[in-house]
Amino acid sequence: MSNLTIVLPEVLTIYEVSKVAAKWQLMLSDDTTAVAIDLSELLEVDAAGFQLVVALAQCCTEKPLSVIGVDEHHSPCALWLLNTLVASNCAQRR
Amino acid sequence: MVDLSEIQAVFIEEAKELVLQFEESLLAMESILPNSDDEIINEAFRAAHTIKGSAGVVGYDHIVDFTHFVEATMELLRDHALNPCEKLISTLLECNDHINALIKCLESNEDFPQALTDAEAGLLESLKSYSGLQDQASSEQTVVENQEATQSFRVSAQFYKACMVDGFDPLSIIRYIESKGSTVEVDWLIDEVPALNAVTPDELELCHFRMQLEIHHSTREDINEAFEFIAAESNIEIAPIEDDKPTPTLVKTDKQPTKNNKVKPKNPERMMKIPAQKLDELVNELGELVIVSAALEDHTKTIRDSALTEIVEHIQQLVSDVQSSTLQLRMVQIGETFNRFSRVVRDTSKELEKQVSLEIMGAETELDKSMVEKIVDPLTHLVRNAIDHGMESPAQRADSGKPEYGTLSLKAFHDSGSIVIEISDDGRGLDKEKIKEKAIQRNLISPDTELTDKEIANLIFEPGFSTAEKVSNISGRGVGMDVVRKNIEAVRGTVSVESVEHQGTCFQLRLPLTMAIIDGFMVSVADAKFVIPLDMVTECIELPLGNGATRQTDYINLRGTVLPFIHLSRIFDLPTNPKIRPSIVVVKYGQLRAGIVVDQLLGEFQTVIKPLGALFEKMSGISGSSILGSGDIALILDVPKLIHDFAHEPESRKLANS
Amino acid sequence: MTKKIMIVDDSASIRQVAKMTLLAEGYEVIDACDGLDAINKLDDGKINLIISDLNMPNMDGLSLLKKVKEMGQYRFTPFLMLTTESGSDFVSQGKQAGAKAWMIKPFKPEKLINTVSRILA
Repeated sequence: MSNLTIVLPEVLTIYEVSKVAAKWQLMLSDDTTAVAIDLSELLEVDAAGFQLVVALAQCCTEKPLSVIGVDEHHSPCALWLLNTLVASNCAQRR
Repeated sequence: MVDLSEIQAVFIEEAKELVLQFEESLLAMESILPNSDDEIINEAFRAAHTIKGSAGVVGYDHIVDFTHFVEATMELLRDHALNPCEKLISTLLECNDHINALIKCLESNEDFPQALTDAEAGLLESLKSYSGLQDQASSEQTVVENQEATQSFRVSAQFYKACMVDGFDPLSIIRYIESKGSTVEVDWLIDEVPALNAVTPDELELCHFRMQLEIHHSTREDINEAFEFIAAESNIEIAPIEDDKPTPTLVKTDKQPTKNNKVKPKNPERMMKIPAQKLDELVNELGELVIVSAALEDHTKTIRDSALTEIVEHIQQLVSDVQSSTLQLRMVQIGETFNRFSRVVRDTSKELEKQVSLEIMGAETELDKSMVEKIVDPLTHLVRNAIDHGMESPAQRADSGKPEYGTLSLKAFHDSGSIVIEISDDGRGLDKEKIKEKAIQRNLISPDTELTDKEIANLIFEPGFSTAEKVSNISGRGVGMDVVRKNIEAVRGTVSVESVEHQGTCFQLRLPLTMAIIDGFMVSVADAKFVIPLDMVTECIELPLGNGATRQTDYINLRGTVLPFIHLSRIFDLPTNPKIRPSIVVVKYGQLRAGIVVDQLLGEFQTVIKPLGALFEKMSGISGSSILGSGDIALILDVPKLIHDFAHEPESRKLANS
Repeated sequence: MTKKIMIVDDSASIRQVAKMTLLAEGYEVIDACDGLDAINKLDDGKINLIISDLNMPNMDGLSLLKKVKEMGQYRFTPFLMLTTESGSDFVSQGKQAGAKAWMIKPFKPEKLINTVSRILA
C-alpha cells in the first residue's frame, strides 16, 4: 500500500505532456493506492496538461486525487486546475 | 489603432519597387509570346498580390479595390484558366501604369484627379472582358457591427483528435469568448480520457475529452467566430437556450478593449532577443579564452621571437575587444527596473495615505543584466521604507511648510567604475538622537563615543536595528536594513545613508559594473596571490621607512590625510618576511581610502571571476577566485568589505585625532 | 508569460503593420521575409503562433509549414495562413499539412488582432 506525491512542473502544456506522462508512468507502481498532486510550482497549464492530470486520476480508481500546494496567494492557474478537477470529480482538496 | 502615417513611406517605397517588378514580368511575358512561362507569371502574380496586400493593411482601399482585379486576373493566368495574349498583357501594363499613378498621388498627398478615376473604369472594363470577372465587393472583410441582442447558448463540442497537436487550445477558445464580455460555464466530459497506466505517452497529446458549455450574454456570431478554425474538423453544436429571456442590451460596439498605442515603435535599430543563458555561456567561454590567451602571452615572453610576439599581442588585443563587446551585451538600462517602481510607489503611498511623487533620473544608465534581479528586492525595501518611515503625512508636511506631495527620487549614474543608485526623499530625515540611543542600548557603541552624523546614520544597517515604534507590515521590523546591506554586498556592492533632519534622507548604493570579468592588480603576500580590482586602485607606494612606520603600524599620514592600513598577512594569517620591504596599494571606495600592505606588486592582470566554492564563501574579504595561466589560484579581494571591516572603525578616527 | 508571434511575409509593409499592431497588443514579435529567413530565425525558444503568407520567394508558406512541423519543438505551434480569397486550393493543401487557421489578405489591423486572439487568448 503506498502513497505517491507528484509535484507538477512549472509548465504543463502539450509541449511537455508526452515527457511528463512517461515520467509519471514510471512513478506509478502496482501497489500505489493514493496519489497526491502538488501544485505549488505550477505556473502554466493548458487543456492537454489538464487532460494528463485527468488521465492520472483515471488510474486511481479507489480514491480521487488529493491536491496540495494551493493556497490563496497562488498562481491563478493552480486554482483553476484545482477547481476544475474537483468539479469533474477527479480530485479533492486535501 | 496603430499609427499608420509612419509606415506610409515604407509602403510607397515598396510599392514603387513592386510596380517596377510587375512591369518587368509583364514585359518578359510579352516577349515570349505565344509561349508562356509559369515562373514569370508567378512572379507577376506575386507582385500584384503583394501590392494589394500591403495597400490593404496600410488602409489604401482605393488601391486595393483596383489592384484586386489585376491580381485576380493574374491568378487566372497562373492557374491556367486563362491564356496570355498580347492585348491582355497590354491592358495589364496599362493597369500597372495606373497603379503607379495612384501611388504617385499618395506620395505627393494629392487627391486622385478626376481623369484618373475616369480612366479607371475603362481599364476595369477591359480587364473584365478578358477574364470574365464579375464585379465583386471589395476583397477586404468588413467587420459588421452586430446589433444582435445577447443571448444564452448551449454548446456541445467534440473536438477532432489532433486539434491540440495542430496548436488549438480549447481553453483559449473559452477565454476568447469571455473576453467579449460573456460568461462561460464548462462541463468537461472526461469519461473517454484513458488512464495513464493504460496508454502510451503521446496518446495523451490527442484530445479525448468533450465539452459542454453554457454561454451567457453572447451572440451566435461571436461563438461561431470563436470556434471557426477548430470547427472545420470537429463536431460543434450550438443551440440557443430559449428559457432565458434574451437580454435586450445591445452588443458593445467596441469588441476588443482598445489599447492606446503605449508602445512607441522601436528605434530603427534592429533589435534581437537573446536568451540570457546563451549570453552567460558566451561570457563563460570568453573567460576561458582570456585565461588561455594570458597563458599564451606568458609563454611567448620566454621565447624570443618578435614575429610571434607581435601576433600574440594582436590576439590579446582582439580578445580584449571581443570581451568588451560581449560584456556590453549584458548591459541593460536601469530605467526598465526603475519604471517598475511607479507601481510600488503608487500602491504603497495609497496604502499608507501619503502623497508621494516619483522622480527618475539617469534611466539610461546601464548595468549588468545579472545584477538587475538581485537589486530589485533591496530597492523595493528602501522605496517602501522611505514612504513608510521617511515620508510624513500630508498634514504633517503642510504643518512644517513643506509641499503636501513628497518627492521620492531614484537616480542612477556611473562613477569611477561603479554604478551608483541613489534613493532620496524629502521627508523627515533620520532622527540621529534616537539612533544613537538605540545603538547604545544595544551595545553597538559605547556611550561616550564621538561619531560623525554620517557614522550615526549608517548604524541603521547593523543587524537587529529598527527604531520604528509600530511594526508596519510594509517594511517589517528589524529585518530591514541589514538584510538590504547583505543583499547589496552579495553583489560586491555597498550601501550607505546620509540624512538631514526634517529635510530628507538619501540612500546610496554602489555596485560594480560587471560581475564576470575583472581588471585587477595582482599582488602577493608570502606564497599567496591576490587580485585587487583595478578600478579601486589609486596608487602604489613603498612602505616609507622612518616616521616610525613598521610592519606593525596601522596607518600612515599620506600627504596630509590619514591612510589606514589593511594587513593581508594578518587577515589571512600568512607569514611575514622581515627581509622584504612591503608595498602599499592605495585603494579607494567611494569616499573611503585605505592602504593594502603586500609583499610584492605583480602588475595589472585581467581575469575571469570564478565564484567561490562553499569552503571559501564564509571567508570574509574575498569575493571570488581566479585561475592563473600557471594553474595557480589567485583570490580576489573584496575591497569594500575590507575597508569597511578593517579601516573604517570609529576607533581609527579617534587615533587620528589624538 | 508573454506570447511570441512570428510573422512571415515578403512585403515589408505587411510585416511592419503586423508587427506594430501585435506589439501594441503586448505580444513579442519576430518577423521574417520568407520561409528560409523564418527557419533561420527560429531560435529554439517557444513560438506561440506563426503567421505566414503562402506565396513567397525562396521558400513559400507551405514548404515552411511542412519544415516547421518536422522540427520537434515547433510541432505544436499553430499556423495562421494568409491567403487571397480565391486561393481555396492552397487553403486545403495547407490544412492537410496542418495549418488550420487562415486569414484573407489584405487584412485590417483589427482583424489581425481579432484572429490572433482567437488562437492565443
